[in-house]
Amino acid sequence: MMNDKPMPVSMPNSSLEGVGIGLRSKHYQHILATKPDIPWFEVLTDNYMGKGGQPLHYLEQVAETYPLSFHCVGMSLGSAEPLNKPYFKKLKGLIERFQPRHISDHLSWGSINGIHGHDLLPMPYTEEAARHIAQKIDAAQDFLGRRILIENVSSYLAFKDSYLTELEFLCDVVQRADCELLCDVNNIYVSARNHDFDAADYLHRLPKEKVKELHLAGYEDQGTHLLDTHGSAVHEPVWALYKEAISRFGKIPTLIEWDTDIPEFDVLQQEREKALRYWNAGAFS
Amino acid sequence: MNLKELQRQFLAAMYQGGQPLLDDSIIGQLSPQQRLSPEQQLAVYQGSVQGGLAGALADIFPRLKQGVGVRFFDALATRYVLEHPSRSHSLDDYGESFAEFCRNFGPLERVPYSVDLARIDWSWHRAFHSKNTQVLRVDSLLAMNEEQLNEQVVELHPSVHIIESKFPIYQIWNLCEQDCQALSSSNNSVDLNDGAESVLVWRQGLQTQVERLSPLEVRFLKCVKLNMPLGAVFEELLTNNPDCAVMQSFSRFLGLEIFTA
Repeated sequence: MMNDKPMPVSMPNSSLEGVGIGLRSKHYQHILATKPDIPWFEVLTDNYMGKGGQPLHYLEQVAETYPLSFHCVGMSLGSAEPLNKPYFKKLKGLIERFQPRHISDHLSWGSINGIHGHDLLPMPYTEEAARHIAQKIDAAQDFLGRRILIENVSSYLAFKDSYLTELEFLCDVVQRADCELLCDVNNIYVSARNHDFDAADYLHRLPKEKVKELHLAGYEDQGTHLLDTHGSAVHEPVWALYKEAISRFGKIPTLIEWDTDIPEFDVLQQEREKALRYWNAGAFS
Repeated sequence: MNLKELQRQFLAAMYQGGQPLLDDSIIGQLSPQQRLSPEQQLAVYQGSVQGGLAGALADIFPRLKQGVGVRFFDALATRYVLEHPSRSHSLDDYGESFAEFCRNFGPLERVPYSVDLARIDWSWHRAFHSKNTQVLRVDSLLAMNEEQLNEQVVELHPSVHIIESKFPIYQIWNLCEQDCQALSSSNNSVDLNDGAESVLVWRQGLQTQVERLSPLEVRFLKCVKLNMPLGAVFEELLTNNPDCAVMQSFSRFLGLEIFTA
């Protein structure tokens, strides 16, 4: 889909560099007291939509020292209904206040008809769905006045209606909406294992010029399938895929994500340093 | 099936427990995979949605969880999730009717104070996220003459909640807050015959607090809620209470910073 309107201008990609860490409330005090040498923090934006109190207070303090990226779960871009304006108004207010370098959400949906699942629910991979989600991304970018990054999600399910592959669907959406891509390396691996496709091939067929950020996290092997839990260290096969990602996309910003059973900050630092070794060794292609 | 209908059916299935589904047409929309059958595929998402919401309830109601026990709470939360799909984009809004749900949940009849414990937890959660507001300082009152003071209407800080209970709820809350597993243990116990208690939940600066309120203090705050000027509040309270007790309450409230400027 060609867009006649001028596209929102994203901040220069160079404004976010290196390997960042997801900001979690458990680590506020440590971060503010020790000011660790981290190039940026990713903020789970939906946790900062309250009216006041500690979350916004600490975010203000962290933002005084560190660049931020905003990672959302509530845009529900895939829902077959218009943008949730109350949500986007809050988000826009936070964007104006904190000026994040990147703004991202997922290639998924979470609500319909006023009922919310608070989760990253799967899309059928059809042209109708691609056209719809691309229109929603356009509308979101227009409303926010910023280009957003769309993240590939972990998948455990296949709709009968899906005649496109996940990769074809993702590429179609990005082409139509002129958004950017957040490539979650762990999610590629999890989905590849669950649906028996080649993770490296998927990675190599992503539109290189669109990929502006990488995510790394841990999964859990449930026996029948891999579950994206963000509750452990990054697994070795995901590191191997990350190495390929750096080789293909170059030194683009990378995030260490850890959302459940959150460890001490030092553990995240160690994961970050490991990612940094791959990052520094990565060849530009 | 169009996208909207597919999503409506899918989300409805997310709020159903166990198999078979009440409406299993969504299963027919899924393609069997080598690793997971359609039912298993759907169950992964059901587990994630329901687990996420039950986890949110556990985060919002930690003292209730301590008070009724972890396993009981988990069953209670799961039942609530299945009967109460989320209707807000904000997860912080989820659980507003949880205390009422506890009131009508048969097995909780043997833990009669659980409803009030849930009300305190919800109030704590609301206070934690409430708007930052300038508080009323003693200095600004000292600058007033007697007439101005009598006509002054003070407002409660937006984080303030008052919970009245027929149980010794402050003691029970305190026990749960201290991470106690059993209210009947010999060293840490509350005598339910200790009678009614009321509590104040509010945020002082960044810290969310819970304090016990005397019956006089509850009446004081109810008068303030009615927007009565301070002179009228004092007149009302002094008919049944000594001067010093009323002044002491007012002074305590100023110290706790529960009034706004």
